[in-house]
Amino acid sequence: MKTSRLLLGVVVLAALLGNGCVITSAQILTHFDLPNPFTIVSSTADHSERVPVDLTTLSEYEDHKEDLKGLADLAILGKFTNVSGPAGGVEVYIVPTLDTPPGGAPAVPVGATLLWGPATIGPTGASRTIGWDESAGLFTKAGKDLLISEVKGDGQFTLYATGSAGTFDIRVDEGELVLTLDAGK
Amino acid sequence: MHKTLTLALLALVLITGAAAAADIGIGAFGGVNIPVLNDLSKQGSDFGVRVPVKLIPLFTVEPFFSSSSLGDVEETFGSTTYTRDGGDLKAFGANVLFTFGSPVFQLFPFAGIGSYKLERAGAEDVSDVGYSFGLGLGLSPIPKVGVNVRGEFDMVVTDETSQKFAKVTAGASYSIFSLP
Repeated sequence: MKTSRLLLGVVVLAALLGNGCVITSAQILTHFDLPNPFTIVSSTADHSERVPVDLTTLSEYEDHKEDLKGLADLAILGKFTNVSGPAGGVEVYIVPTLDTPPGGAPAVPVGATLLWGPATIGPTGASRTIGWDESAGLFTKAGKDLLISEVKGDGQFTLYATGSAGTFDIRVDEGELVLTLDAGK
Repeated sequence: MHKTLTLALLALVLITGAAAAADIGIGAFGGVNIPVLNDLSKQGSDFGVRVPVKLIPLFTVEPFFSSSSLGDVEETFGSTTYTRDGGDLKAFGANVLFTFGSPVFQLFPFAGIGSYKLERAGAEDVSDVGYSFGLGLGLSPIPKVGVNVRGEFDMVVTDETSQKFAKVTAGASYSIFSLP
């Protein structure tokens, strides 16, 4: 009996100590405002929207930057309106550099990684606000890995939003990048 | 590997204990589950079953299964309020109870280990080892029947960090087998 009690105690203690900072940890919600509104138009210099993201401007990120271990959850939210064009979708790409200036760009840079999407939208006149649960399921593995690497790194990267159809004219209102930081000491 | 080893050792402890069991019961419980330092979920409900195996008066091993439906998170960005699924937390494992007091009224600190699974819409399932500890109060107003209330802290180890939950539950148990 004493052996059984001792064994269980040793297992629990060893597991806790072996996992370092697991006890003092937290999951913290933060969000980065995308330009409001922005448009992406297939036939102009606004083919994609360049959004430099500097997470160090967020107090939640700065407060926990040294202790970040990853992301517990993430989403891209907003209201998407198809101003003109066939049914299609919105996609977001990521590059690890802080590209400027913010605003319209003629194309997504070569080598950018697809982060999220497509979030589908109907033809001309269609409008939808994407749900948080649906958005969380639209991230690609490669894009998410790159984003986590950037979050754990300098916190600076650039998003490029664009349309997935051949022809598009889409307005995005109140766009947000929502992150739940996974931090531990 | 770590998880497998831990659970294998746990099974060894349980088998060793059950072989010398003096009293085996079955119980059910329900209560609330409150995420701690965790913006992924809000307060939710918690239900489950336990099988207390009393080895000696001071020492009980208790396999358990619990299921928590965690509360959704609501946040307003701009003019729109969004809702994120709080997720479900399922766990099975075993507690060790150290019981003090009389047969009618008991105080029991406890600790446990188990396999925990977190499920949330739009996110990959998380399956990891978790640890728990807490304090309970038990009453046995009539032979074979017991009721208890517990305060419990659960910690699910997720790679380099953990997700933590505080639980308050009330339960009842019935003794189905006793050695003289």
